[in-house]
Amino acid sequence: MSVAFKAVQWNRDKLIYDAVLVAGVAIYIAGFAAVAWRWHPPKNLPDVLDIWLRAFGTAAFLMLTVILCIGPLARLDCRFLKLLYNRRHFGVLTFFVAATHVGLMIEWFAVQGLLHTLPADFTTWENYGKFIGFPFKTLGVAALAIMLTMAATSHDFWLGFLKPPVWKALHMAVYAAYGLVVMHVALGIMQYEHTPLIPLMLIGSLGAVATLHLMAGWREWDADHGRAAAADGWLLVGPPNAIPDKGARIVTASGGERIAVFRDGDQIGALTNLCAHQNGPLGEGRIIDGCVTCPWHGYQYRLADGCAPPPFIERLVTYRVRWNQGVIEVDPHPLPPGTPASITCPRTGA
Amino acid sequence: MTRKHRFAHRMVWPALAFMLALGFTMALALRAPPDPPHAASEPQR
Repeated sequence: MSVAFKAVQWNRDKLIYDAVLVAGVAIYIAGFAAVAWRWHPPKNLPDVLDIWLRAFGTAAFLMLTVILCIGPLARLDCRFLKLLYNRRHFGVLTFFVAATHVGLMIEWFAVQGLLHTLPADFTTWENYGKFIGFPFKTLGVAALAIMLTMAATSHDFWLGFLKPPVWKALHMAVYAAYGLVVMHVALGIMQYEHTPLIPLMLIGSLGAVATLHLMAGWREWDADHGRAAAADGWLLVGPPNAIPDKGARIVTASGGERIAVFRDGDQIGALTNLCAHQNGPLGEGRIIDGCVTCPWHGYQYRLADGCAPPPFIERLVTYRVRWNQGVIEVDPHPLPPGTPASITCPRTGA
Repeated sequence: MTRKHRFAHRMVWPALAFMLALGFTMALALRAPPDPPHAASEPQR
């Protein structure tokens, strides 16, 4: 976060991330083109363009697959959080790679003097009633339009303007884009070329995305079931030592909302598990420099009252906590954002 | 993610995964068979 507008808040991690990302994509595209050149040497300019068209197309598809795998991977293993940190840059680069694929496709038609035939691929309406023969380019263009919308709204300005719930819902359209791209390939190139590599690429991608989402969903299932509340409605968190120092224990209220109960030495406080930035899982973060720090993008809040330290203005919902016969309990009824609610525990023994 | 987003996520992606698997399987099963071998692959005289 920043107190002044900056288009991109570069730091060392982001520069390294982006450098590795761009280098990886460049190596893949160059490698693909080199291998394709050797296997099927191009005879003319359209053949050359076709190689680059495929290189950029497969790169965009694989990048989209990786983007969809990053979320569940980060849920399963915190080491993948580093990939999540800059996922938006990954998404924007994917859009540019996909847009280059479209540009090469137009060029491929143009160099053969066939550009005038291209609109017919989109406007032969009877083909929209077919399955095999469906205008697959339309699927690709629809996916590109979704990626363009997501890339254009990826900046924090739009996140603040639209608010996290709307922004997050909008960006879930990445699943629709992925589905459109899979069918773009399945009804397009897979129909004309009988190499097993294309079905294998699709099966591998679908299998990886589905398996990782199932594994992450399975792990989250237990966490979504609320804990039984005591007679007065307070939820048991556990003895203070059960909460890692500088960390949190996440409890779930009966309605399914998650509460992050943090411990910083003897101080214990409960905040919503949702970061004000992108609804990131705050309870999986740590207390750094005296502030609860979101694991996704490093947004920080005071444990005592859920307020971001000045000059920042974000405020989180807090919850009352109490020390009751050696255990910590939390009241699942939220307090207004920024309400002081932490306590000092007399005997943590940590 | 909020509770509502988790719920929406769990509703959307299995449906999408099923439709995609079905669409891909149909596209694979219904595609035209490969062309017969060309003259180039015939034994040379």
